[in-house]
This record gives sequence, structure tokens and C-alpha cells, in this order.
Amino acid sequence: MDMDADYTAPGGSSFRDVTSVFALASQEMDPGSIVAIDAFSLSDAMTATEIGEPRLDTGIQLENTERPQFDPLTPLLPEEICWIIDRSMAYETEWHASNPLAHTVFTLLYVHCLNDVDPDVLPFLPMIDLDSSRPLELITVILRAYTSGLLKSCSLAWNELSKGSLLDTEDWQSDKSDVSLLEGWPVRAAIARLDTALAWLSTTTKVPPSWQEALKIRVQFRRTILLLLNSTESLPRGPEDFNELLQSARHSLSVIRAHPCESISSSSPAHAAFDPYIARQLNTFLPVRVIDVPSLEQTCDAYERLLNGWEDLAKLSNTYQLSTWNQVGFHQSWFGAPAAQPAYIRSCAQTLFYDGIQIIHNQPQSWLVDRLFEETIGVSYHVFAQHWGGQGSASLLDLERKIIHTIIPHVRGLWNNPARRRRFLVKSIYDWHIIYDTLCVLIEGLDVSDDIDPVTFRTLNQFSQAVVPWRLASITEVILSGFQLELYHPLERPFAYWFAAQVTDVHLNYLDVLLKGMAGVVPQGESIVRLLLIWVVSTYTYSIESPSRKEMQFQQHFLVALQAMSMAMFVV
Amino acid sequence: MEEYRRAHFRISGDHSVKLFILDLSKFETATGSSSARQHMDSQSDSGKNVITYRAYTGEDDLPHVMALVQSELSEPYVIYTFRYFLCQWPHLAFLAYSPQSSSPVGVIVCKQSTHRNSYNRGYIAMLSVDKAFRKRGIASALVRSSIEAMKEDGVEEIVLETEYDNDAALSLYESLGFIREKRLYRFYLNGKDAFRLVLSVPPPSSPSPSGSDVDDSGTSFTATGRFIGERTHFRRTGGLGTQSGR
Repeated sequence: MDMDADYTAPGGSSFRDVTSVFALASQEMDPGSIVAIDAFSLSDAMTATEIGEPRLDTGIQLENTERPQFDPLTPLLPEEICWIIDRSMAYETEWHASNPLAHTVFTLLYVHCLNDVDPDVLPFLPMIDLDSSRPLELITVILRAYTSGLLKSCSLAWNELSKGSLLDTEDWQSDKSDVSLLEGWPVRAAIARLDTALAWLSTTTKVPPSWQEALKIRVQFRRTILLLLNSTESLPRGPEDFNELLQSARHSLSVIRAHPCESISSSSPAHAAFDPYIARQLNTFLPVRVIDVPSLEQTCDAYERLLNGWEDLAKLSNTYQLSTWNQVGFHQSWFGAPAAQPAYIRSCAQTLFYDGIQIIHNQPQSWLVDRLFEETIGVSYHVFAQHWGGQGSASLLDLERKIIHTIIPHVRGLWNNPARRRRFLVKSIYDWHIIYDTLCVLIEGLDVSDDIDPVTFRTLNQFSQAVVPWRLASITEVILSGFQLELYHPLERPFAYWFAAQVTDVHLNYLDVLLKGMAGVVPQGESIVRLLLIWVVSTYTYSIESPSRKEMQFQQHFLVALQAMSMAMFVV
Repeated sequence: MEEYRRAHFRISGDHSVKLFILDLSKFETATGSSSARQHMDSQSDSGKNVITYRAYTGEDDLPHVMALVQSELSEPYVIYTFRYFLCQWPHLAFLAYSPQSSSPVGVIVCKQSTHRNSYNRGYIAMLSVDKAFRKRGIASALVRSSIEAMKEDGVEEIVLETEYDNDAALSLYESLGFIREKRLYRFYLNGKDAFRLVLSVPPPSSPSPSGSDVDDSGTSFTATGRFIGERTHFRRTGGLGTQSGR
């Protein structure tokens, strides 16, 4: 290989030409033959990178990507700082929309040179700060604080997303490209730096008042977002403070939306602050893709979705009804589908419901078993379990484990993206049936000598029937989500509606049975006392609207309407 | 491309229940039982417009295949990806030629293997037709060729992915009997969703003249080499599945 004497290849001059080695080794191969490792897979093939292919070689320097040199200490106007902040906000929302950091947040070049704008290491700063309209504090104080807050915000979100509730490379992109997100830096330090920036803006005379306010609201918004991200995990302990932060964030966002910054001139040096091709200089194998920067309006909408998600989380953190979680899960997945809520919110919801140890931050997993029956048929699981030695007994261990291992992924799965959620629901249909079958086997196995009265038997049977509506609701959801995801051929659609109507009909039948059969079970005792108690409990069940009864009645009305609409769509 | 479109090349392991399977009899390919490896001519009223098809023959075809695919498809593939398919399944790759062009004007690249140790699955990896030669049924003919070739090796279902908004591809495949099995969220590197399409290939309707062939182990095979027995793949009993009668 001929090389100019003065040419210095990247990596130094220690490369050796080994073309002849490969040529010699391949002499015995026939044209078109291939030598591959054992079990050479498609993944192995596609992992290769073609040097010089612009779409694959992230390090290639193309002629048309020459950019002006970026100097982080280039003085900027306040409106240019505003523009940079707005653009970085837009990129942050794009990262939350499952684009890589290297194509979004990291395109802000200040991310990579925060130390270069640290005023503590720039003793010569006063000597170069000569333009009164472009005070360097805008960079060393304001932009530095904002960028630090931005990175710390991404770090907190990254920590939540990396818990594994959602899928990397599908719902979000975890690749950091070896760029620091200030992971080891305390949140308090970031807040302090933002507070310093706010204090400077409040007291400075170097910035026109209108731009002071514009910058203050943006720094304030960043501060609030950072606090919200930091507070999400401790949400159950301080919902009031969290709601105050939400209100503050909404206010800031509304001001930003109402007073957008003017666009800057094309010759402005602020444009150099962003490099969409920065990925070529970073440690990443993802092909470079230039993301279209959303408008301020779109960016505000994206942040609003985040804030709405946080608001839902705040409410859910104090919601101890399984059916409410179920309904909210279904609702949020339909709202805005086939797109999904921000991945961060969906991950938080899953973590909030079950963090690997407890349910809704302080309930044991066994709590789910009782809630399932209490909310569906209005009877405590204890009434069922007492015939087998009580909750947690050896006879019921298998059943309770199955219920827990079905409900937890069922509820968490509602916060998957719509496509994956549908596939998960399909699998859960089988799991619900297994629970139903286990309950039936247990009831059938009751010893006839146990002297169980018919009322008790009817109540015990209701426990097995209580599981069926959950399964049927999942089936209906699978059918209807097929429309949402555009999965059906036009010829299939009428039959999908017909199936939905059939399933709804079965569901309604089960609700009828459950509503008619809601009677109490009395503990063992004197026969007269038992009869009295039966009368009291039955009176309570049929005359006073228990929450589970009200819910079932609502479900009836809803399903009747759904069935009618489905049949109409089938006929049409 | 199956199993790739995530940046970290994660294998997707999800299943789904096909609630509806169309009666495929009306979508049966019209190429008959002749070997798809033979030349086929499109019907034409002029010799000038006759498109000829042939199977991939070897390394000499590779540059043309790569050029066609890379010029028409947005996703970048390295040469190893092409070799992965073409070296192992050359008989499932077909090229279309036109008298008006010295290079192929269409290409299809496929694979066929046992999926999850259960059933014989074919996969259409790439399909590309030169822009100047579209709307002539070339893509349809290429797909039919590959389907027939896979059938000769006992394929039970054929799958592929395509962008959710690729109406042309969706129309093509749905006209050939493919249905949408699942939607894949942000499947492609550009963030777009994909549909996974599947064509269920019924077993041959008539048994082989000599009946089942039984090997020394006592396992019986159909004439196409598949095991007789209950399939154990993803069709779950819990769903409301229906099977098309044939």
C-alpha cells in the first residue's frame, strides 16, 4: 500500500498491510464461497460496518458536512441563547420520542465542552468580555447552567427507563455514546447552578428586561422539570409538593408557548452550537440520521404530554383500586394510539404499580389477590380461602401465585406500546384461563362431607366466575386493538366486529350471573345465627349498591352499547 | 429485515394469535406446480416487453443484486448481509431481466429455515424493482417464484416485514394472500412502525402415491419431508382462533 511519507493516518503509523495474507489464504477458495463462523447468523452479518458507506460509517467525513469551527466562548446575544435553549428543548422531546441521544440532545455542542465554559477556570474572562450586548455570562452562567440541567434531566429519565419496564431500541434508545450525562453529579448541585443563573438574571443590567424574562422562564422551566424528574420516585410520599411543581411547570410552559422567541438570522454564530452529525465523532455504531427539529408548538405539546402523564401518575399513586388501574391503563393506550404516551411516563407507571417488591409502593403482592375478588364480586378472598386453610395456605399457594403473576404483568403491560400491548394481552388470555381452571379444580375438590350449604357453594363458584370477565375483556381488547393498529384486511373487519359482539355477549351473560348470584357466605356457627346472617348479608347485597355491583352495572350498560355497535358494524 | 431493525440487533420473541385467516384458495398462485427455478416469461404482446426470470446463479449476480437493493431501499445493508442470504439460499433468490436493460430490473432475496424448532418458515428479506420497470407485475412474479420455490421445500408459512405506510408493498402482498400478523412499534431505524405479514401455506392436499415414508427411527414423514404430528407453535387455545377450511 503506497502511502505518502507525510501522511498520518488516524491511529498513527503502526498499521501494517496484510492484504497479501488474506490473498494467500483465500487462494484455495472457490469464487462465491464463504467462510463463516459456526452458527453465523443474520445478526452477525448485519453487525458489520462498511467503511466508507455514508449510511453505515458514522466516522466518515463527507465534503458537504464541513462546518464552521465551534468556539464555546463565542459571545452570543440573549435572543441567540433563547434560540439555543428552545432548540435543545425540542431535541430533548425527540429523545423522549425514542430517538438516540447522539442524534438529539448531544447535537448541542455545549454538552461536550461544559468545562470550557466554566467561569472558575477562565481567569481571563473579563479581558475578552468586551461586547456589552453579548455578555459572556450568558454562556458561562446561563447556558452552562441550562445545559447542566438538561443533561441531569436526561440522566434521571435514563435511570428510570433503564429499569427494564420498556424495551431498549424500541420504546427508547439507551446508547449514551460514552458521553457523560452528569450521572454522578447530585441533583441539588444542578438545582443550585440553575438558581445561580436565575439570581444573575434577576439582578443583571447587561440583558434587556424582555430577554431577561424570556431567559428566566426557560431556566425556571428547566429547574422545574428537573425537580419533577427527581421527585417522581418519591411521589407517593409528597403528592402535594409534586402537584405544586406540576402547576409551576404548566405555567412556565404556557408562557414559553405564548411568547416564542424570534428566529435568528442564518449568519448567526448560534447555528454553530448544533451539529446534527456529531454522532460521527462519538462512540456509536448507529447510522447518523438527521432528526427534523420540531417547532416550538410541537415541542410544547410534547412537554404537555409529559406533564399530563405526571399528573396521571400523581393520581395513580394514591389509587388502590385494581380496576381503576386497569381502566386507566386501557384508556391511556387508546388515547393517541397507535402512537404511545412518552416512554418515560409509561415506565414510571409500571414502576409505580410494581417496583419489583411491592404493589403501589406499600402493598404486598398478596393484596392483589384480595383486590381481584373484592372489586369484581364484592366478596373478600378470605371468604374463599377459609375453606382451604386461609390465605397463604399450602393448598392455595399455587392459585395465589398464578393470580399475582398474571395481574402484575397484565396491569403493567397496559403501559407497553400499543403493538406490544396487544401481543401481551393475547398471551394473558391463556393465563386468565389457567386461573379459572385452577379455581374450578379447587372447588370441585371440596370434600362432600364438609357440609357446605348451597349458598356457600354458589358464592365459591362466583370466585371462579369472577376471573372470566377479566379474560373476556382482554379478548375484546385484542379484537378492537386490531382496528387501532390497522391489522385487519377490509374483508376481515366485519368478522372482527362480529367476534367482538359474540365475546361481549358472553361477557354480558357472565355479568348477569354474577349480579344475580352476589350473596354472602357466613362463617361456621350456630344454625340460627347463620340463617340470620345470611338474611342480613343478602339484604345488604341486594339493596345497597356496593362499589363492585355499581361497576358491574356500568359494565353492563357499556357492553350492551358496545355489542350493539359491533353488530351494526358487522351488518353494515 | 427480521431481527435487525433495532439498533442492538435484538431478536424479537413475541407471539400472537391469528384471529382470522382468510380462505386462501382464491389467492392461490397461478404458476402451477412447475419448478420455480425454471425460466418464466411474462405474458406480453410484444417481444420487447418480455420480462424473463431466473434464479440467482452465483457471485457474478451479486453486484447487480446489491445495486438494485441499495438504490431502491432506504435501509443500508453490508455485503455480508447479502452473502448470508445468497450463499445459503441461492435457490430462493430470483432476478428479473428486461430486453431494455442489460442489468436485472428486479430481484427478490429470501431464506427458509426451521423456526423455533417447530415449523418450516420462509422469509422474504428483500424485494426491489427498478423504478422504470414498475407496474408491470414484476414484483408479483418474483414473489410468486420464491413462494413456489419455498413450497418445494415444504414451507408452512412465509413472513416478511414492511413499513406500515408502504401501501404499494402492502397491496402487493395482500393481493397474494398475505395478512397482517402484527404491528412492530418503531421497527425501523427511522422510527417507523412495520407490519409483519404472514402467508400461511397449507400442506399439499393429496398424499404421496406411496403413502408415508417411514425412516429407521419409526418417524413418519410426508412426501415433503415434514414430521407428522401436532404442531406446538404459538397458536394458543385461549384465543378465539378460526382456521380456514380447505
